[in-house]
Amino acid sequence: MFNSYIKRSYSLLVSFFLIFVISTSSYAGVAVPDVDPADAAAVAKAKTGMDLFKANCTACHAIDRKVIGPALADVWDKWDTEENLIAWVKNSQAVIKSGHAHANKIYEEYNKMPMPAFPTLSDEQVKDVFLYMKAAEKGFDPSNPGGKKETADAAGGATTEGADSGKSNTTLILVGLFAVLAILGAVLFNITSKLSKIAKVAQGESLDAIEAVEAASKKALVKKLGVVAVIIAAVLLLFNIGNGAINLGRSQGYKPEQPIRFSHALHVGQNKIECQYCHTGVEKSRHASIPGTQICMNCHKYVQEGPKYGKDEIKKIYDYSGWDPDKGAFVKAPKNIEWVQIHNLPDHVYFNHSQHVKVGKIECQTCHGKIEEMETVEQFAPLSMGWCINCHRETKVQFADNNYYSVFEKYHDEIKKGKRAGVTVEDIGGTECQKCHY
Amino acid sequence: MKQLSYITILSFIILTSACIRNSKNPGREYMPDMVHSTAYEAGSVNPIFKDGKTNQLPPKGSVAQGKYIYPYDNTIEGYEASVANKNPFTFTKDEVDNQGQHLYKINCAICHGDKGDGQGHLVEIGKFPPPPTYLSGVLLTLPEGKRYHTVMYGKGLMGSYASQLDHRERWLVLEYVKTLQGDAGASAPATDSTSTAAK
Repeated sequence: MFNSYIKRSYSLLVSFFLIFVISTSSYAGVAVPDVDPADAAAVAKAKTGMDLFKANCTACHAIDRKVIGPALADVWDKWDTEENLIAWVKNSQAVIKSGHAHANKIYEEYNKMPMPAFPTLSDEQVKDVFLYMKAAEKGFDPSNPGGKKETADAAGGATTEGADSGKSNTTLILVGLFAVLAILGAVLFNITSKLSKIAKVAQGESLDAIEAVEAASKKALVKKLGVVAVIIAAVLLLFNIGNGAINLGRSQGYKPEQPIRFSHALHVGQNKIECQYCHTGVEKSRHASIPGTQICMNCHKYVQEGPKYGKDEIKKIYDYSGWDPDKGAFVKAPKNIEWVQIHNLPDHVYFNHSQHVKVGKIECQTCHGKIEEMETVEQFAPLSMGWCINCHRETKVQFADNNYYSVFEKYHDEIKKGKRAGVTVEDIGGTECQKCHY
Repeated sequence: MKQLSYITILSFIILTSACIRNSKNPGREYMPDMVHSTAYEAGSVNPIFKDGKTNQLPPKGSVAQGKYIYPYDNTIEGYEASVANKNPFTFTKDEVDNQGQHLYKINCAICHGDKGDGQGHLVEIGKFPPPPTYLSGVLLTLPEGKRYHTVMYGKGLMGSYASQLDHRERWLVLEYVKTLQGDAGASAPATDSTSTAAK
């Protein structure tokens, strides 16, 4: 106990001495002590620093790379004294005006974009932030001094993949088993026929006579089999033709490759981004609208690497939008991304997204399937007329608390009097021809 | 033998008819001239315009009827001047609580968190750095004009939401944020007491 007290006061003395030396020397850099994971007080200070850092700094800065502002890992050597750096954090404009050389250099380098002032932070708080920054550089997390890393995401990804490959494995095993059984059956049949032949010869019949009978019965069997096969083939053919005719113009299951391998499973499933975040038109217009690159860049200015394809696919967004991640600016004119259209209603059908999503409060997944699990989007619904009409017949319109339907006074009355349980889309004209075809 | 040749022909037909569709192919169409619009559809490729898009911005200088024009520039001076910008709408509590919350959950909560504490889902799973909290510090008392300016042009890592939210929706979201902040947020000062950045 006493020993550690001496140690601590000794290190305090040393750091005071260091600070003294640094503040007197002209360009020695800023010295921030490392956090000892065993030192509870230092860890607590670093934790305070972390909270402050996350509340005030991460909107523009990261430790290990340039974001909006510069990377903070190498800030220690670039600044002359800790006092100046603290002053810079608290009010950068004042330091620039005082004519500090490095402050002005940074200001010019970042196109005179000022860092907001933080007058409410005390010197001690800024020092805590420094303490955290230094610790974070070394990979130390003050909220988790033990250093256990969570790998929940990686494990989750692995299990889903495992389930997928397991599925295909079972089909393979089944097919293999079936093949083995078929071969076994054929061999057994062969053996029994040969054995019966031997038995007959043993009973004194002539081999030629047996073979002649066998040949005749074989011929008859082939003829019979041929007739059966022709009938089966004809039925199958008719079935195929009929099915093909029904499916003309329907693209259920259509799953084309897209210019960017954008994964809905990642963005919607794991990251839980709302559909409307990107498909902004879905509540306001006929079209759900495909987002422009500026919506991608809301996040991907920062997120430069994906979990599955690494930097390759995100680099494509940068190419399309003209963004230079090294310079942190748009340097080229944006190009169009030619996404392949999947859902295509015929031109003679009118469909309006806002009517279904905003007024009808239909979930996107009702028509588009489990988008949140799709790595590549495919057409879930047949988009056939029968499919539309069925849904219009079965779906109850949300009459309660919905101003849109206030004109249907008779129905509202009947619901109030208890004569009517609900109103389907068909009841309000949802199966009239001219509702969709005009 | 005759039957065998029949069988081969028929099975060939069956095989080919079964192969019409696969997942990389949208399939065949019946009367394609009734399926595809003669006019260019929204979002489609268009050879007539120079940039190849059907979706075009209105010509420069033209203003759609009723469209709001934001008078402040995306500069430091513009940000400071936006303090004077006030909410021109009076929303009912119902509008703020329902529509405002709906818009907030779609556009903001993924980073700023459902409560506005800067702990949205993307922050929690460590994919995106946390934004400042609304509930304390600078943002608690930030003037509403500056808030609008930030939604309009973005700030720091936050992008612009001008294309996603229209004029009314931006104010609706900001009103909802005030309800998250409680009493302090409801009286977000119109005059600037916190910023000394550009002085």
